[in-house]
Amino acid sequence: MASLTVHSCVACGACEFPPRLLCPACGARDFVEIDAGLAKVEEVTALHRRPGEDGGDGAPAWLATVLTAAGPRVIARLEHPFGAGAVVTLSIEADGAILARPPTRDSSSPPPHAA
Amino acid sequence: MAARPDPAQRDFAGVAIVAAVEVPYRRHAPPGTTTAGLLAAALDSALDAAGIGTPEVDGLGVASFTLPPDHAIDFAWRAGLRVRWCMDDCHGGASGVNLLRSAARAIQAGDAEVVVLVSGDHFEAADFTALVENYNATTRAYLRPLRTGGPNPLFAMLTQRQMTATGLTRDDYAALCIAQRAWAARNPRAVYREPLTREAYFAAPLVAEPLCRFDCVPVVSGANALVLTAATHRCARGASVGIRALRAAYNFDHQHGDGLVTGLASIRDALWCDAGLSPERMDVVSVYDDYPAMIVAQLADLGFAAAADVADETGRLRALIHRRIAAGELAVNPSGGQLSAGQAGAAGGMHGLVEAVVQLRGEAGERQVEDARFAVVSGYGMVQYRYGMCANAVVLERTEAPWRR
Repeated sequence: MASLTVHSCVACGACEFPPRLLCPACGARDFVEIDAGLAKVEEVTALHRRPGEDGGDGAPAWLATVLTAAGPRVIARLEHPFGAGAVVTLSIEADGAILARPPTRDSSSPPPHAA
Repeated sequence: MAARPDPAQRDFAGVAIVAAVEVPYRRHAPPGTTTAGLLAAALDSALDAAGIGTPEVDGLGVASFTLPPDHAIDFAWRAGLRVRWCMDDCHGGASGVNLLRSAARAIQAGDAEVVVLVSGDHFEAADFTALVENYNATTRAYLRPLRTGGPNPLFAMLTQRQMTATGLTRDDYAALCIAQRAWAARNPRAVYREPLTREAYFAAPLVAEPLCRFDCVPVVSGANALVLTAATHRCARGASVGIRALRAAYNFDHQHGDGLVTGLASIRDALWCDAGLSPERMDVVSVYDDYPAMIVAQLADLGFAAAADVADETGRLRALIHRRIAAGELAVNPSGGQLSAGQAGAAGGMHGLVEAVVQLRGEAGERQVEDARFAVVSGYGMVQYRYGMCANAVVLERTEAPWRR
């Protein structure tokens, strides 16, 4: 598990996630990874059923659109069904899953943008 | 969006759509069904409708997710076509209009004279999972590990944003689903034809909140096809259909927005200007209906939510949904749309186009819109991460005589 990073264009500073090949703002090719920072939950959906799967009676999966302090929005799985407006930290698991958790006390990232 | 110099040739004169067909969609296709077989059935049926044999075909366009490892040229060979223009199109819900434009330009340029466009997919459950988990590199890397099961949760959250922004409620989305089901009752080829009630809609299992089962397209196997010819071709002597205007906008906001506005908003003025027509003149409207919220977004972007007597946006959208669409005054997705007829993979990008052509040719049977002369068809899709990258639209016109301007 590692903190989620987003991709900042070296030339113009535009921040992107998911990563790009060329910057959509200026066309440059070099990016640096920066910490996504604290993030704010915008929308949450309870996923009850997936196509081709039986069931739907179990506990739903909680998925959210989350606005990062760095700028980009990401789709994350919520550890708990936080409501919209909740502040979370984001980590990325070895398999690529982005998880949202409550911030720990030592979180030093700047607060997220206003919506 | 900043205006760019526009050197595009706006005129689609000299091109006629002479046939439009659908191979019946099936929720569970019989054993032995293959994607190539469905595309071949669509090709055969379209050529039959046009009165053309395979030796006359010199252009082929294909849109399919499940045809690989074959490509368009493999399909051409297997179908016995000798062609001089051949292309693959992988734009999902935007592939029908995208292919239409390329084919029309090929005919105008003289690169081909008789073009067949086919689209379709056959899905087993495992095929569908493989498609949605590997839709693109972003999905494979960042959505597959979340087990989103495809785009439903993404559009559930988009629907929430639209409800917040517009004041629409689940009752409004229900009205759209119910209206399309009422059309489907008159379409013998729709997969779901039994009337849908408000009670049944609200009793349906939730898929990804607030979306219920009726807000999500049923996955089916099937195929569609169109035949285009030069307007001077003998096939264009009958009731053919001409292209008045066609515009596309892909990656218009680079996924930096909320997905509530599609690329159609950026091409609306140019589209209607090119066509010399307005939304009020449309007899048939086909918008890509992967979810009810996207019906609303595309209709608004195309300029259909402009009731002059209503001041606020919520009221204008409700007037469109309830006074015009639910009342049957405006024919939106009169096949029943994908929500009732089913989504056959990439054929979903041609489904609405085929319905519009069928209506303009007067071949729609019980659901025929009386004296249909003009139609607008929009394509939408190819979800990169949070919503679709592609939007395009075409204005079509019934032409009794060969299409010459």
